[in-house]
Amino acid sequence: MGLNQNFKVSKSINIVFAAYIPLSAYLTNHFYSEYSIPFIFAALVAVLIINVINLCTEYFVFSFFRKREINSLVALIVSLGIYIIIQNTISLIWGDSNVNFTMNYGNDSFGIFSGVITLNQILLIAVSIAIFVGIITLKRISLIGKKMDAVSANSMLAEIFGINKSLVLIISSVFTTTSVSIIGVLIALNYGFYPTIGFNFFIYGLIVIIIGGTNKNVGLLFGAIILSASQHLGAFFFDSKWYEIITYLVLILFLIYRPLGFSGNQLKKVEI
Amino acid sequence: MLSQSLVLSSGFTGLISLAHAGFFGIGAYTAGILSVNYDLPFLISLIIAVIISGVFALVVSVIALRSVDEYFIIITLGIQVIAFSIMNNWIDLTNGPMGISGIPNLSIFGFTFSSKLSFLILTLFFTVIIFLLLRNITTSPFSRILIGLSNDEIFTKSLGKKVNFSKVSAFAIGGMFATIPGVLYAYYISYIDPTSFTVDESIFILSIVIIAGMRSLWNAAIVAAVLIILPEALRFIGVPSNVSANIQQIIYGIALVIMMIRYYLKSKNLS
Repeated sequence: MGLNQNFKVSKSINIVFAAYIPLSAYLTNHFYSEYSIPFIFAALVAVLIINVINLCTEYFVFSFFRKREINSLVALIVSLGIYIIIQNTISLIWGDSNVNFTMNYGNDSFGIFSGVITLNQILLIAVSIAIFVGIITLKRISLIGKKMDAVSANSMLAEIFGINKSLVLIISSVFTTTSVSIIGVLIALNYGFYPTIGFNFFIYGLIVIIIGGTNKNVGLLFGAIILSASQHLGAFFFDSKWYEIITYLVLILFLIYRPLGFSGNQLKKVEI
Repeated sequence: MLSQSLVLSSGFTGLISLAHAGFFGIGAYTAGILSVNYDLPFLISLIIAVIISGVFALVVSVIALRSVDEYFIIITLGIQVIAFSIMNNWIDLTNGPMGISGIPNLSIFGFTFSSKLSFLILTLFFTVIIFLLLRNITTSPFSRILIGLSNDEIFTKSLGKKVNFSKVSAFAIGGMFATIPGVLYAYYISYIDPTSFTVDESIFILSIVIIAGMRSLWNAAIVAAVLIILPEALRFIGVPSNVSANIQQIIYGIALVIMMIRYYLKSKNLS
């Protein structure tokens, strides 16, 4: 959901968000373990710092290109460069080994049907639902949500009607950064964290956007369900080691046969 | 060799690919499997590796070229991950994460390239051959079709040029050329494992091409040399070896951003 907001408004894939996933975890862990700040406050401070970093990259790097009508491919490569810088800075400061939060709670497990779920996983699901509902509500009832929809539909027309496109882009990136950072902390709670963990989850988010389409939020939900169902069914019937192959095969099939996803509108292909 | 082959398949066509390390890996694993399991000589392994890579590149390009721009990059990323996953998990074929060891010394018509100097000369020979072949391709009318379709595909098609055929050909040729250093690498190191052929390698090769300006073979060679020597230079000035790799990567990232700014300004000035 978070990635989709930025993707719709900026019309480009921004890989920098992949670096914010581990960065939020490392910063939270740093404040929690070094300064003994309560975990939730440590996470909030981490989210705040990452938003400042994001605003700096928007102002000092991306605004240069946006003023000159950036090509989406150029934006992707620039974001790749910044991702490399941030990810390696994380490695430089905190090292490359797998880290876990030193917490004594969250690992309690509960039986559900014939499966088991931990408290951390319940928290992850609850926060994801909250973010999903929060973004949908915000976009429906708030003025900024309507402005974001206007810019994503037709940015030139939106500017003619007096909508400040740059401000909308910044606000959408703040939404995305905040949601990505929060999810980064929750992922780290469940799986541990290392500097390159963000890239895989970013790609999964991107795959969900491609499968679900960018037009409707319900499409994203279906996309996520299809992706995770394919992954786990494939792991069940074949082997868990083919998890990644199944993920990308699903992606490739959708990119070829349904490139606009479930909720995208079919465009007329230009043929000569 | 890797960056120069990517100059053709990505630089000239404008189709940024993250699958190049996969072709590198196909070359290495084909050489490893054929030499260790079937005792085939170097030249036969090389020819078979190039053919396999060419077929793989053909299949990938036919699939991937049905998408455009960022989606093409994502598909090639997917292909790269699939290739790595096969190398890492198909244990019966590739020995999985344990890799293939005991690759014999490279031998051509009875002469064994056992010393580093002799291997260097052989590698230089292949580098020059690949450079000359790519230079001929990139100065031919075919390259002008590739430049045309990267600038305006519909206009190029309207001139009657075979756009899809050109894209597939460029991608397949680039993939086949990328196999050759893979074969040489396997014989040189005599041990290969999947960790040498990851997405990070693809990103590194792509960085070289972008920093070199996308369409220059000479610049790609120079930038590759500089970026490979960079860790040694960092160690020489006293940077500890445990941080030099990260600093090297940070320098790549900064260079990528600067080059895109420069490339963007240059293309805007030309237009």
